[in-house]
Amino acid sequence: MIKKRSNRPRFYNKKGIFIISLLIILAVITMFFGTNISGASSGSRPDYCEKNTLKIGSYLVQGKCIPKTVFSELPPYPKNLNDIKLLVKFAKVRDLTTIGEEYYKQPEFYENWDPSGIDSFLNPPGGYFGASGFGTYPADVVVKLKSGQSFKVGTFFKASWGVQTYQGMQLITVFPQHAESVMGNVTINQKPDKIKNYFEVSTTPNLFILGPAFGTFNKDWVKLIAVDVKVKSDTPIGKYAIGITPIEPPVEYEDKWLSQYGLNYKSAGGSDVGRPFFQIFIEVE
Amino acid sequence: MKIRMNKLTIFLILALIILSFPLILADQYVTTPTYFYVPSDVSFTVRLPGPPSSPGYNVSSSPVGTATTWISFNATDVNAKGVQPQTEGIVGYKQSGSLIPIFYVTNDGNTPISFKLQIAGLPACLDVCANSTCGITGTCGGATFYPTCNSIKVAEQTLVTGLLYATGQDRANITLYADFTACTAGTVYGPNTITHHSTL
Repeated sequence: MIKKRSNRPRFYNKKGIFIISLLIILAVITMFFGTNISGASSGSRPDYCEKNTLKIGSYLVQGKCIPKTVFSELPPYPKNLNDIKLLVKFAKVRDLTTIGEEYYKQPEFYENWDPSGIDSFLNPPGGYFGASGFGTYPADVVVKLKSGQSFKVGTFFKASWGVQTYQGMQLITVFPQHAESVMGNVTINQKPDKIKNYFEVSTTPNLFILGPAFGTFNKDWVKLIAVDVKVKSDTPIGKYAIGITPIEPPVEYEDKWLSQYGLNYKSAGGSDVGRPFFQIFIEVE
Repeated sequence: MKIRMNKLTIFLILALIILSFPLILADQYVTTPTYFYVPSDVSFTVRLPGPPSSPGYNVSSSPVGTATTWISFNATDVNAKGVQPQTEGIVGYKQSGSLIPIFYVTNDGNTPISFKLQIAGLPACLDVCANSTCGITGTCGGATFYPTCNSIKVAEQTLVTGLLYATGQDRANITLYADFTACTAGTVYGPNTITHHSTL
């Protein structure tokens, strides 16, 4: 039996395999490091009802539930929301700015939706309305790097449960004299005038409005904020803290939003929590 | 065969060079910024007396009503004392001591907060004091309240410390009282901004 030899040299076969392997490796790298977390298939949102039931005669009557219309302005509920929520909670997502709005605009994405958020709908305090209130999640991040390097971090600015006004705010960068993260077990004391020269910070967006989180969830009740930081090359080894916090928007924006939202508009100025709403702790090695 | 071997050798050398890049650039790899997100949530809510929306009511397309986020002290006497505030813009939503406080504050994050108030720029004929109580029957998780009404005109006053994150129950009731002393009748004073200052 005569074995028929291929006309192509074996070397080219190996080269081909090598190129294909490289392409596969590149594809895998792109999948893991270059893709946004988005485009999930839709799931169904749980029903949120009072746990107790009323017994009328021989019938059991379900307590009140949150109407579906509460979520009508939000993107479809993703099937894998809980997976992404846990990845964020346990700091497994390095760049939060890659999280798609179909995740972070869902109230279930946030840790205290159950019970606080649910309760704000099932048992709103009678005779009161949510005039103001906002916050950040996560409120702290720790970054380790060398001088001369840059990084990007993200956080979610959100209206608090029960708030039914439009809150305008402008984000500014601050360098606090003292900063600490209770949960992160980090404490920094620094000289703001000196420290501010070591960093270039830009926040996107830095002027925006948070919609209501009560009645219905407004499509803009939460905003994803990206913070780009460049650590200058002459920054000494050490630990630093940068803060991002809201102040009153410029007058022309206040006027614009007042005319747009009328009595439902509230400036974010005048309220603070005694620390920047988002703290970035930087360890220059 | 000899030519093929040479090509194979060249290929292997090139492959080794490519594979050694990570080793050559190893210093760059170990200095990649490292991130640790801390799952803390810093949030608060301030509620005012007024008509609440219903769950499902679309605030975006229909304004809530006539309640505003402003409060006012209305006196019928230029020397009135202990005047209680009301939500401006709607009749009937007025503070009534600690039963209906003007501010009802909850901590919607996951770290305890304190709460301070100051009102800046008041005219000489006006003074405003503030005090606080736990908004539920119980201890509000061990938070500390300040029932003595202290002036918030000149200095910031602490009203609550250690308020835990809301479980649907813990809340601080903040009440305000204004003293008018020889104010001019028929005059509208203000507006002034009340600064809410919460700390960890």
